[in-house]
Amino acid sequence: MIPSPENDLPLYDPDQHDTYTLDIVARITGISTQTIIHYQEHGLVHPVGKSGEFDDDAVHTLRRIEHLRQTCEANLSGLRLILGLMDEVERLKTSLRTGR
Amino acid sequence: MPAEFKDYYQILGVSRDATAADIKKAFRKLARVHHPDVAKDKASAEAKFKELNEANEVLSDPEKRRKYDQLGANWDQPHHGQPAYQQGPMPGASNEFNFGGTGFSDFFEQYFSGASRYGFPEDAFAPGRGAPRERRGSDIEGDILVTLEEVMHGAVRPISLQMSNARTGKVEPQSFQVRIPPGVTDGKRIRVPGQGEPGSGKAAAGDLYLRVRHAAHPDFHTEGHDLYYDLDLAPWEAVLGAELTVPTLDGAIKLRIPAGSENGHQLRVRGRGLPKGKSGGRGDYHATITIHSPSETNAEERELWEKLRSVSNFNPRKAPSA
Repeated sequence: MIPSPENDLPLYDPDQHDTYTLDIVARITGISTQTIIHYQEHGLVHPVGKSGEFDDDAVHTLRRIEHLRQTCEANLSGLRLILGLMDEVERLKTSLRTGR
Repeated sequence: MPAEFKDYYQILGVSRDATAADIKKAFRKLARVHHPDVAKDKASAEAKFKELNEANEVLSDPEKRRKYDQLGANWDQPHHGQPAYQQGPMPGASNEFNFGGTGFSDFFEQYFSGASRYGFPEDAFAPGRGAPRERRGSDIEGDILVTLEEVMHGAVRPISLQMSNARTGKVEPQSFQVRIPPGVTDGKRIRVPGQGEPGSGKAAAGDLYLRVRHAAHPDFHTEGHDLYYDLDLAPWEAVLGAELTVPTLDGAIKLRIPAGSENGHQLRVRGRGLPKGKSGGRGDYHATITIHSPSETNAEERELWEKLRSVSNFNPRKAPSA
């Protein structure tokens, strides 16, 4: 967060191309590095390119995973199914929105 | 939470039984008049343009329109119409929140936004479970309406978020600004660290995710970084070819229409779409051709069309010979 030049309100200046190392993602999400690696091995979350680093979309997915695990007690198969369906619904909704 | 009722039909100037085509036509017509780029009073035009977009967002979506019609005149009655924050895809505990500065009205935010929160288990504060252990606050997700001009050049948007904490009952307002990066695509989430729900004890607050929604534009729509323009042609322009001036988001360009163009053909201009962030590159511009026939003809035109019919061997129902 940086001070805003226009007024007193704090200004967030996100960089949509920012990527984070595994350690930083663990700190941001509160999920251990081993658990993140476990999710990665099961294809639930993917690093960006060949860098092995994660972007904000991966952080969002990890937070969703934790919520589903805690509130729905979803296992790995359940997580994969639910995340896939959520992505599909979002994709279809976006396509309906832009197509009309 | 008080919110002023919005008559979306009146805003678009259509009747309650208007078809999807009527709504699209009314939006495009009004959006051209009130577009901030063309109107004299830019500030009021921007507010009007956002209001038109909001009405279009609800009435052009069959599901949202059905819900809006059901809300009807009794929209503010207790239990009539469940607020959107209780219908999110992942409903959590009952801390309610209200967004400001997203480009949508309080009324839209209350009933039609895709706002949701996730993080805490629903029974985290249930009685009889003892003191809850320290937990990071929930993430909150909401939509932000961004015009294509803002996507082209980037923007700084003031945002306010009011949360009433289920445990303390206190309303906790937060105000801040978010830079909208140039080239941000529809559906992209902007993460604002620490502006979600406060954590319990000394745990960190959750994050706020603002999901970008490109505002509908009277002339363009987007797919990723590509920009699409509906190019209407007269039959002779499609058959004979033409050189036309067409709008883009950063000035008009000349476009050569090749002879023999057909309905639905797309003409691509590289690098005249939306910016692609730091790379300096840009998406492409696509002009999609729609050929329109004149609905009325005078005597001279009719004579020429009849002459064309007698000399032409073109038959659209006959397969072309190999």
